[in-house]
Amino acid sequence: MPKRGKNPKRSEYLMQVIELCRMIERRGVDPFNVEIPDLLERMRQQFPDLKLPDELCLDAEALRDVASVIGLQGDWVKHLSSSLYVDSVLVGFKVRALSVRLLAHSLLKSWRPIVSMEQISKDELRSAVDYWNNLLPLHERFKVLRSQEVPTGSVDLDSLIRSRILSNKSFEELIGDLWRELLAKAGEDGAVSYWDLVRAESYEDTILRAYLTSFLISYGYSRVKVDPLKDEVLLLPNREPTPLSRDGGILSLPIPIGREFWRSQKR
Amino acid sequence: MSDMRDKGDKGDEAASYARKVRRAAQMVLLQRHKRPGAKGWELKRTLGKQYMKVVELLNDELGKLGLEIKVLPEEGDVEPLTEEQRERASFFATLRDPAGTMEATAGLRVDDIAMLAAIVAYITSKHGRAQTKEVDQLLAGKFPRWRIEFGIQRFIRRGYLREDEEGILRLDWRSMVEIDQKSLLSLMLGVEGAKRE
Repeated sequence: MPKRGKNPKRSEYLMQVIELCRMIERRGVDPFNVEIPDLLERMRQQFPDLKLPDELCLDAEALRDVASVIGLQGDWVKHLSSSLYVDSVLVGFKVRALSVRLLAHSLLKSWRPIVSMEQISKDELRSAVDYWNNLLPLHERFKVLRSQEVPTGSVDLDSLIRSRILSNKSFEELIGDLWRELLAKAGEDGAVSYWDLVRAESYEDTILRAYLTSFLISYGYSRVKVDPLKDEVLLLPNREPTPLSRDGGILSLPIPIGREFWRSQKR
Repeated sequence: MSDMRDKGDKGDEAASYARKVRRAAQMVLLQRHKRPGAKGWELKRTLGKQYMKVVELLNDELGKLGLEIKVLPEEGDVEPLTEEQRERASFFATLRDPAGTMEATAGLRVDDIAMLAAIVAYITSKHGRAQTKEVDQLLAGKFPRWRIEFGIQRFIRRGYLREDEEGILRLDWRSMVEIDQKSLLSLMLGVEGAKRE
């Protein structure tokens, strides 16, 4: 049996339907110009042949746009039946024929402008006075700015490492250390609870270890097993880094680490 | 004794309503946000559950000055409004009768007003939406192109029109509150006949 591939004709037809519906919406033309039953019938006929996700998405999109046109038809009928219905050609003709003064007169006779006032409140006045009273004279302010100029200094590498701006180990070294730690903890069981690996004395260190663990998994140093019944996440370290296989599908596993949760885990 | 107490209670109630009407007037008339007016939920929060009664009293008071309260429902909500829809709606004070003369034109010139009239009427006749290009063409015979562009941008800034990323113009909140579209259309279409008479 031949494998079904993407049929350009099917996709093309759906794209045409989408474009037509959007054009109707964009230009505001009569939505009854579209033969909705014919469109739907043809879409219905070709639906069983759609197999590829792209085609199915396109079909759903086309159906949504057809529904929008049906909505527009409803609005159109309501407008036609309302007292506001006037032919736009006639209005265009009138606009061109009437003088500027008569056009303005028409609006003035049907225009009830909003009345509003802008006023500064007592609170705003008070805060303005406070601001003014605390405002230093210009020469004082410049003095303050000048006094803030300090000579540039230097910071040594140790200070940056202490401040955690830099690390004395490379990223690969950090991951390697954590992998070895995971292997040691896993022992013969071959599995370690995620929290047993990630948990550290400080919250910041816990976040760092969780961050590194995510790379351990992405780089194939470890596998993950989720036990939904026990609500437990297990790490199964690989003896050799094994690249993730895309055939089986790759899942993302978000694990939130709130400070409260970290405290409870620490206890 | 009980009569006196009744009168006292009624007096307190009247004073309370008078205070609330003044507060409601401040909320509706003094512009506090980008848009003038107040939201239903703001009025309810400040004036209490009976805020619509206070709004009615305020409407009566404003009527003496030739003003009235106008309620603009959120887009998609239709009259009669439910309590929830009313809380979402905006309340404005507008002139009770049409401006009529050039004195109340909010700083707009006669050219601008004519342009606004033409645009609002055209968009209304086009089921509430028209392409900016079409509107440009419509006005091209009457106004210079730079003036049309400037006018449309100005009406968008003031809340009379809004334009989406596809260049479709629609009437915005201020047109809905201030302009009686039905009256505008009938005046524009009947104005020549009326002049002949």
